Amino acid sequence: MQELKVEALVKQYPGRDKVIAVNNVDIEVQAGEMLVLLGPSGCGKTTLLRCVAGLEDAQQGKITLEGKAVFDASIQFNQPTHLRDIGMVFQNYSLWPHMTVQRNVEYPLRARGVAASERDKRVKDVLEVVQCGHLTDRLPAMLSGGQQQRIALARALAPKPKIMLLDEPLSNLDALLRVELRAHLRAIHREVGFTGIYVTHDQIEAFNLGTRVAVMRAGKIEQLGTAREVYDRPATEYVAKFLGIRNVLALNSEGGWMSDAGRLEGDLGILSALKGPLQMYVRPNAVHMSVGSEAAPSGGSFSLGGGRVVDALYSGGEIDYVLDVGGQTLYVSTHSAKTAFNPGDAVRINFAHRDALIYSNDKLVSG
Amino acid sequence: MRRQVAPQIGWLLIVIVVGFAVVWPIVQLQYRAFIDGGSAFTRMGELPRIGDTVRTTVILAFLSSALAVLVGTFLAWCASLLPRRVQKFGELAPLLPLIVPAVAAVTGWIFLLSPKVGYLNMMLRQLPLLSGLEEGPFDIYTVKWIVLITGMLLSSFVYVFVHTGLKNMGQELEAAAAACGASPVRILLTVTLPLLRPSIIFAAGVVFLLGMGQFTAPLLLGRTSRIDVLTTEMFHLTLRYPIDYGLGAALGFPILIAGFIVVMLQKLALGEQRRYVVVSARSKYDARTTRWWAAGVIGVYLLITTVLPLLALTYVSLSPFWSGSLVMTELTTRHWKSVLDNPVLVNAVWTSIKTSVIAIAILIPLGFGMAFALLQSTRIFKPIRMAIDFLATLPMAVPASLMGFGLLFAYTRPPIQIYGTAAVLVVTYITLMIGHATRLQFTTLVATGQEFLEASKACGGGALRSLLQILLPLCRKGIGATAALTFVLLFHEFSASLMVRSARTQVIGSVMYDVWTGGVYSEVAVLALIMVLVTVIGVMIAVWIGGSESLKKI
Ligand SMILES: Nc1ncnc2c1ncn2[C@@H]1O[C@H](COP(=O)(O)OP(=O)(O)OP(=O)(O)O)[C@@H](O)[C@H]1O
Ligand SMILES: [Mg+2]
Repeated sequence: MQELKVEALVKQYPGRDKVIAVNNVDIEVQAGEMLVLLGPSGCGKTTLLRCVAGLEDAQQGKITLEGKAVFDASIQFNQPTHLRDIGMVFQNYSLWPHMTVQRNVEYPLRARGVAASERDKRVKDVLEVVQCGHLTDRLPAMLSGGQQQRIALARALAPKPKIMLLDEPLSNLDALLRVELRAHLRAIHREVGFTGIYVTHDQIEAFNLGTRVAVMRAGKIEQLGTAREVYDRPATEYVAKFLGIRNVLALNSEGGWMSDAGRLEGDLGILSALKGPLQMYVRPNAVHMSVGSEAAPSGGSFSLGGGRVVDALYSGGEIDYVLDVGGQTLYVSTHSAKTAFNPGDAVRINFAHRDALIYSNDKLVSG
Repeated sequence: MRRQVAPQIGWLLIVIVVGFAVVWPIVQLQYRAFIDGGSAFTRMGELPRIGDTVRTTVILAFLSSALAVLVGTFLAWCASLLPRRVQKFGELAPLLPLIVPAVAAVTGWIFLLSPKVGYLNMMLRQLPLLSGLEEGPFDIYTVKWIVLITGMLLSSFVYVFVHTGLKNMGQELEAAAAACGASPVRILLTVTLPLLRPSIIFAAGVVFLLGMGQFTAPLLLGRTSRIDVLTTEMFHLTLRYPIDYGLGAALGFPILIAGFIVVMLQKLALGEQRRYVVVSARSKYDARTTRWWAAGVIGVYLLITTVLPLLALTYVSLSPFWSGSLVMTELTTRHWKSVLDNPVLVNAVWTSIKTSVIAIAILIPLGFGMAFALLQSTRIFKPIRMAIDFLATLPMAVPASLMGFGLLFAYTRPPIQIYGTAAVLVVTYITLMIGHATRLQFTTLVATGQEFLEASKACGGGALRSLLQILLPLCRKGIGATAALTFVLLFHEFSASLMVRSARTQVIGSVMYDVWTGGVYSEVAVLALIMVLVTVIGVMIAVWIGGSESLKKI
């Protein structure tokens, strides 16, 4: 069953430049699912979330929560936020500074008229879930950033809302704490089984936490799929670039396949059905290097010769190579246990067909 | 939006009621200027010395505000150079003149600089070079001194805005410029001043409007040598019967137009949000250069604007009569006694306190509601928000004296004939201060952060719950400080009170004027000091509630 349905939503901010922050967005969130909105800064993630919360007035579209419309532009209906039964975690937590942790967390329960005995139990339980049972009497000012984040999460979870809205809840924390809380959040999601929308611009967070991931671009949904789908098959070049796939080859089919890094060699059979120009994206860790004098492998791979190692960066168990291939800069990362190359070495690069993401007119055509 | 229509009606009602109170008197009054083919303007042209009056008004507006901007900005810069040990007091010191009501300060200055018996003049005449003089060397009853004194009175306002601007900027931006190799002069020109520009423009607009509507100094200082400005002419009209409201409206018309132009220019120059200068405390001054002479400058300013006038007032209030000579042996508390025994005067003080308190009890919730509405981008219709914004800005563009004249006209006739009752004072005070009460509480609300409120809504808290459990507790300090400061401003109120007072409804400012016209200067001094004392108590309450930052919000 769908918990949340957003249809053809348009939100334009007033002002001189009339930014269309959300542009004709459709999404559905299934019960128990965590949908991650992923995208660069300014693409409209927060705005979309705030529309769902009822904190913004959209111009067009419809939002349905558990089958009931909460927003419908066609009949000018916008249900006030407090009647929507949502839970929200803000980027800066927004714990009320004049209330103790206990008061903060029980606030949504009081607002919903939950009886006192039931309330205490729920607060206790939910604080247990976020591992903050010992903090009940503190004021927010006496909490660390990570603790504030957990309390904010507890406050949103306490009333068991229809949907949880989380806006970059981890972005104000330092790297280590972020990893820890990410794992914790994932566990809580499994345990409590809430339905949620999670906004982030961090792809690791997105793939870790998301049942499904929606990649946003300038107010639109560019791709929506399971974490696996989005990772393996970025639907457009924009998604591929946003996911950090750094090696890009522009291919032309004039007498064989020429790329801007030289002639493409190897097994070109799968390209025969395609017409140029094409864009080929390859992840650095999918590229293999061999000594420059070796011939191109025969089956299942593409290959480019004439490469030269410009730089080799050792980072822990990996080596990141920067290559110059026919004037084009390409990147390779390998396990450091493999044969090492040195700057100046002549190399050939090979990558499997299944690792090449080929786009024609910004559409994924490979695989 | 369909669901939202019901709450809109409440807001609409507020707009209508406040709009009626604020706009109607002015509109109705100005209408009188234009009926009969504008004959009021003809009568205005026939007033004796009208040319001089207009010229004085313009000179006073431009020169006093220019002086105020220069002095206030310089003081703010000095305050940023204060050594750490005196910093805390030194930063507050330039605000102390605000504690002395304008009437009291001007009276104090008269005691000091009156040509024959002013104490400073008498002392200067003891000097060898000046000993031949009969009077002077200074004559406070001149345009020059009206400008100087008005400028000094207004400089504190400039200081508030520029000093806050400097503080909010912090030291880091300047340090960053220095790290880029910029010399101190280049930093001042390329970083500090451009960043302060909004504060300075805002302050300049405010003091220009205050300078143009200036009433107190011209009234008290101009009488002897028949110097008038448009607002004092208007006041003279109220003393005659029947009052020529058309003529008064014509006199107020240029001020009104200039006020609108200035507010418009301010809007254009500053953009939308900057009109509300947000006060937030951020102290990052550490690795700054400090100068002891800066403390000296601030000390001299404090001496001139506050200490000397207060000393003069105190001395006169304790002297048998104001003769100009300083004789300590004859001091008496006679005048204090006679003031405190005079039921008219004591009643006036009580009326001031009572009407102010009642006005505040209405102003605070009303202003809070309007400030709250300004912040609601989704739930309140835009036209309503724009109207509220307009109503919060309008009283800034209309000088208190002109507003008072308009209110006198509006409330001496049906449908609301409340002239002669204390209600007219309450209504006047609300009208004058509604913009102020809205803007101050808006600042508080902005500083509190929209997100706390959104978090409450997201947790299922309805409007009432969010208001009572989240907003009010978080804004308590700001609201308390606003109330105390509004009290101070109302207690100081002189111009509008003088217009709408009647024999039965006197406030401290208006009886003081009567005593002053009667020539009983020692009692004037006593009343002025009572004003100062009550103000000090009010400010202390404000500081107690809202912390020392609230002093800067005056
Ligand atoms: N109140 C506002 N008024 C006008 N424009 C706004 C407003 N809030 C956001 N915008 C604009 O709308 C667009 C989307 O903003 P939004 O905050 O939704 O982005 P975001 O994806 O959440 O970015 P980030 O990752 O930086 O939080 C941006 O171009 C932004 O400048
Ligand atoms: Mg955002």
